[in-house]
Amino acid sequence: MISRYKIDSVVRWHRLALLSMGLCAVFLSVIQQADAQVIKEGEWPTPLMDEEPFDLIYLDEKSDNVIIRIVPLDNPELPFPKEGTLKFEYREDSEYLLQVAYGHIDEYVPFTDLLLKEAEEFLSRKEYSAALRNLLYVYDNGGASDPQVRKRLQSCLFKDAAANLEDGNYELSLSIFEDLYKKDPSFRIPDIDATLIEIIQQCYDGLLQQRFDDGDAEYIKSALVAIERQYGDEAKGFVTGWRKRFIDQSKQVARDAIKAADAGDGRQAHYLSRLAERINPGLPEIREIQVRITKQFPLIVVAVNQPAGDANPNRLAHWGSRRVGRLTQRTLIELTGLSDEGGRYKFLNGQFERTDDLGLEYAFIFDDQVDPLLPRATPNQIASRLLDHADALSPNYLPAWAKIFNSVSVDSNRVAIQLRKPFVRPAAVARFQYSDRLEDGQPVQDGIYAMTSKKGDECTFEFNERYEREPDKQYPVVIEEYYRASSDAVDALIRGQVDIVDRPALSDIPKLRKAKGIEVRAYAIPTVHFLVPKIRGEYEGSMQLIRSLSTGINREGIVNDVFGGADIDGCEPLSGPFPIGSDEYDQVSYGYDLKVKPLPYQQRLSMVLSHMAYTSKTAKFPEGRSAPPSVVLAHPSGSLATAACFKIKQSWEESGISTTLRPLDEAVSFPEDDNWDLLYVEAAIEEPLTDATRIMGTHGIAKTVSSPVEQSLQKLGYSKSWQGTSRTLRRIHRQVSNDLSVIPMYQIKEHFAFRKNVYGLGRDLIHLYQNIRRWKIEGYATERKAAK
Amino acid sequence: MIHCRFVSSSLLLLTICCGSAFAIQESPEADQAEATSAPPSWRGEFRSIKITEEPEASKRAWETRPYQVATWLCLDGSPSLTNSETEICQRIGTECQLIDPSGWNVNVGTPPSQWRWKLLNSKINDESVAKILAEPELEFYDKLMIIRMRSSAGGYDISVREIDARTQQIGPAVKAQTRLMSSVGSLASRLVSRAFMPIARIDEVTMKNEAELRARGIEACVRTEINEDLVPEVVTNTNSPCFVRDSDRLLPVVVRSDRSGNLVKLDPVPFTFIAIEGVEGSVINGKVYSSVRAPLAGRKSKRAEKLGLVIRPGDGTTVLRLVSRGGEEVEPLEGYDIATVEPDDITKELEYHGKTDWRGEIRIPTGDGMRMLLVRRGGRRLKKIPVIPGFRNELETTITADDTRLLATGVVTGIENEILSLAVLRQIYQKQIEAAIKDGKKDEARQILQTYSALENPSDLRARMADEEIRLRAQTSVQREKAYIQKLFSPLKKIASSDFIKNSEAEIRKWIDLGKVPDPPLEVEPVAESEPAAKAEPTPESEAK
Repeated sequence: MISRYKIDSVVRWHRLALLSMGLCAVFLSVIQQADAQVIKEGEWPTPLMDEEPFDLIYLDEKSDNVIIRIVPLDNPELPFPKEGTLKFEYREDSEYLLQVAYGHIDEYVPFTDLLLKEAEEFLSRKEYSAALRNLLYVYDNGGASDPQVRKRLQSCLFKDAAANLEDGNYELSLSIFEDLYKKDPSFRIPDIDATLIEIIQQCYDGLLQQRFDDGDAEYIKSALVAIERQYGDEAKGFVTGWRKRFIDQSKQVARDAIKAADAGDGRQAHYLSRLAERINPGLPEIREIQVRITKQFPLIVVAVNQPAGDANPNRLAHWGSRRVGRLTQRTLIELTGLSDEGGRYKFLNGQFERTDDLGLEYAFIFDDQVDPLLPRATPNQIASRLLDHADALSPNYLPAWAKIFNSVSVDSNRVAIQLRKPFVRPAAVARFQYSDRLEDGQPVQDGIYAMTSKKGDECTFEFNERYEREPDKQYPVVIEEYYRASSDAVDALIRGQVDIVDRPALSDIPKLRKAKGIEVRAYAIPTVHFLVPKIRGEYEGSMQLIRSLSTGINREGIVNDVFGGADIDGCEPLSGPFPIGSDEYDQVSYGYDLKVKPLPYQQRLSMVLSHMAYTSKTAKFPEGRSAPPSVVLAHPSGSLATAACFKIKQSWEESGISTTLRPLDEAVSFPEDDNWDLLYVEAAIEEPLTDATRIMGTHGIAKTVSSPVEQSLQKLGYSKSWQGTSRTLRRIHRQVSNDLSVIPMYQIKEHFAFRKNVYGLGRDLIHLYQNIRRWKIEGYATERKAAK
Repeated sequence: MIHCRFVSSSLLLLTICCGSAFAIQESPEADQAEATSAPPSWRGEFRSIKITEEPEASKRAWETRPYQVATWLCLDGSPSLTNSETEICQRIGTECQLIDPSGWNVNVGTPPSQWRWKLLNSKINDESVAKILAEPELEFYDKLMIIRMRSSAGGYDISVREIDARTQQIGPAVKAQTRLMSSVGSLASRLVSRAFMPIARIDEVTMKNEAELRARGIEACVRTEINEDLVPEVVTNTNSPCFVRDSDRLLPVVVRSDRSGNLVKLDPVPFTFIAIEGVEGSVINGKVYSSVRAPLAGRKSKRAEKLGLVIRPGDGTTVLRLVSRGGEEVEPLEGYDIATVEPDDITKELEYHGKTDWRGEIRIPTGDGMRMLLVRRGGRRLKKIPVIPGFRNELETTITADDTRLLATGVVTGIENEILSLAVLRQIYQKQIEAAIKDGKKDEARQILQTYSALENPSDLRARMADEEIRLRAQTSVQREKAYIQKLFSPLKKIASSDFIKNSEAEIRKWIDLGKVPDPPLEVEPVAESEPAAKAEPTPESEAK
């Protein structure tokens, strides 16, 4: 509007505006704008770099000597010519273009001058990094050709580097000094009485000492090689000194390891012997010590990202509980691997076989040879367990089993069962524990290992003394150490502090693959992540809100950015509740319908749907709902689940859905109270045939599902063939993607990484500890080869 | 205080005397019973209650005809109970007479030896009822009360069940426990009173399911009372077990007999009860609640007697089982929602019980008399079932399996959501393109148009819907389900053919080429018939645009 009037002077216009203040409401706002631009000397905010850039004009007396913050239209030519006008916009308001005659400008101060002035003040207060920020801006915006600016910048850099050196920030100071050395090795830094190479060595010394204290031997070694290459003879003494220190240090650590071993502290002895090896690998005497300690204290440390909770090998929504459950408890039938038609199951005490052509009769046939490391079970006990799980009044009642189980008969070495109807894989349902007896309030530990102590974040498992040790078997002590962040666990593995990392973050896998002496393997089953909706309050049953929530999730973004699964096969968004598998392990994908379209991520659609849910007039809410939607999202406490939920929250809030995150306790995967609307579940789905009803339906995690889904789940309980099973599961997939009984999210391929001196873990694992009987640790990875 | 005590003692004495008088006068057969059955010489021996001829009282009018009640005491053989058998029998007889001296005539004995252990230890079912009632002992009785007594660690467990001779219906078991032997008899008599099921004759049922009934023996339920003038008078004994009260529910039973009056067939009307709305003298007005329409309709016939048996449930529960109808094989129906609803308005849910399990079963808890249960699935009401929990341990009902309909509901939900998303996305993209055109960003507009074009075409959607409909209809042979599926798809087809998800790609392409979005058409306000459409003015919104 101002530009229309083409005024000569802002102030004149200002006065005019003041005069006509009462006349025109339109001007009023403009006057207020003009007032806002006028400031007093030195009243601009600081630090200037946090502000939008502006220049200052000091107007002449005729214009009341006002100072105004402006943004010039073009770079002004200084000094100003006598004739002409300066065209500019107000700093606070770019709506109007203004102009002022050069004659009315007493002084013009560009932003760079203000920055230089402020930089001086910073330097006087020894705030070098702030000063550097100002100077670099000036340098980048026309100051590069100004020798004064360059000089000031260099001086500031020296002072900053010297200050960093003094403060122990070696890396920061080193980058400056090395840069200087490259340009001029003979350069003498003002106020420092040392040559540049001496200063650089001083920096390296400090830096390597820090790394040395952290036990990061690999870094130091590579740094020494780099220093040697870069500085040649000039750094020879320095490099030799450090290498000698390494050998001395390594020997000292090895001596400490022996002391710890003699004192009976196996854990510390292990740690120190590995540290000694890492400090200076390949020294025969250190390897001998390692072998001796490992023989004396066979011990494996496993870094985990979810503690055990209540150990249960069948708990699909809690990885930790499932992992430890497999170590300390056994089930009559166990899943040992995958096949083209569902899982491979094994009855531990013998064989589980079909005994008729119709598929109605099966038998548990006991082996003649009793395995000393298995729970003792008689046919009568097994029959009793089978009956117990079919009894509606028993606490162990399992409807899926009761549905198919009809009767049982017992012979001297076999238990024959008759089914009501043929079922495709009864073994998948009959994964019952040997006993539901409690010891000290906990389930009986009948696994090969038993938990012997729990202190803070550390659990110790030792060979279960109810069994007799087999000769020539190591049975190392297993210590599970809980790490909240995957990167810490991975660093600990690389440092040799732990031997195995369970479920490292996918983003850490490239680093692990590159690390020496470490191997990464994938689990045969992935985790499937989904949300269980249970919306409370006014929005209960609102399909629009649930659709809004679903379309507001950037599944691909979370898989790639949060989990780091962009380039990993088997990590992808899902449109249904079952795993899609991977190229390597596609046997678990028989429930996934590839024809179902992916669930869209449409932020705007989500926004519209949430608004519709809020404003839609229904019989119950004739005026629409009283407040915009607000939900509580409960999630497991792991760092990745938390990060994923944080991302979901951000997205939902953009869609107008207020979201509160509720982290659950570490041992919990399902909230004990009702204070939640959505639950984030990460489930290890081993067998979609039987796990479907454990996820959804009356006895599942998501209890409220649509009737069509429920109907299909019921049908699944009577599956006679794999073809029919697959058809029903794919139908459930389609139905879930339609009605969002659960909100499907994505599948993540899970891995484990281990040091190569741990043997017998196996491949294509379902559970980490499924081959615990064969686990063995040796002093160093090549010991076995060397022995051969 | 002394005066009060005197008055109440007098009343009790008078009642006993009058009661005895009624009993003596109105029930000569009691004497006969005693005469015919010799007192047992030793405890535990068969204690007969046989009546040799029909009592005179049984020939009276329906409303004043008292009930002849046989009571069989089944003891578990424990010494304490066996030794007290005589005392228990006497106590039950006396107490029952005290409870109502005129409405019923209770004779207490023990069952014939062939029944004694069976009745104590086995379940009584419909087959055994007919055999029991065929016993000559029970020839002239209207009711048989079976009392089971067992000694347990904590005392004595007593349970009582009634069998109605006319309708051959078994009543619910009424149970109690006592620690004292001395109170066993009186507790058993109270249980007999609670287990007793009065009977009424259904005289008329209208098309609106309003019923008029006449209660048996209701006018015989009387007792004497001293009025304010200290004059004894006869009043209705509303506390009598034979009296029918407003809170009672009746189970209708159609008793069909031949010309000679012999029973041919008994038809208990399934899942039907009559709720009493008012009792005036011997006339009862009630309302019929049933899972079927007009369950008691039909011509009156002398050979089809419609009776109503009062059901007073105990504290027990009932297991309801749903099974399929119409298929080749009867299958349990799993996952059906069961709720108690308002009997007169099934849209009002009072209590949700849950879903049927894999056996098609659900346990219905005891409630305030009758519960009107509603069976639902997938939001559709399938059947209403009036039930009195505790009256029967188990009930079974059939429902037509509606799997294909449910499958169709899921498919339709998916398509509905797709249509909505499609409509919203088309609008969003169109607005974005319009904005880009207005800003002169043709390339951006073309890029968004590509996304717009990638959305599903209405014709493709319609074709997909048609395929789905054909596929679903082919899965059922039930015409009703086929019609239902068609009805589900019908509104979707309309929407898919309307402008709601119209693909305006060609039109938008033209706008981009022209670099201009045409002004939206004037929105014409709906006007009164008399006003010409030309008078319509642009809305402020369109003006603003």
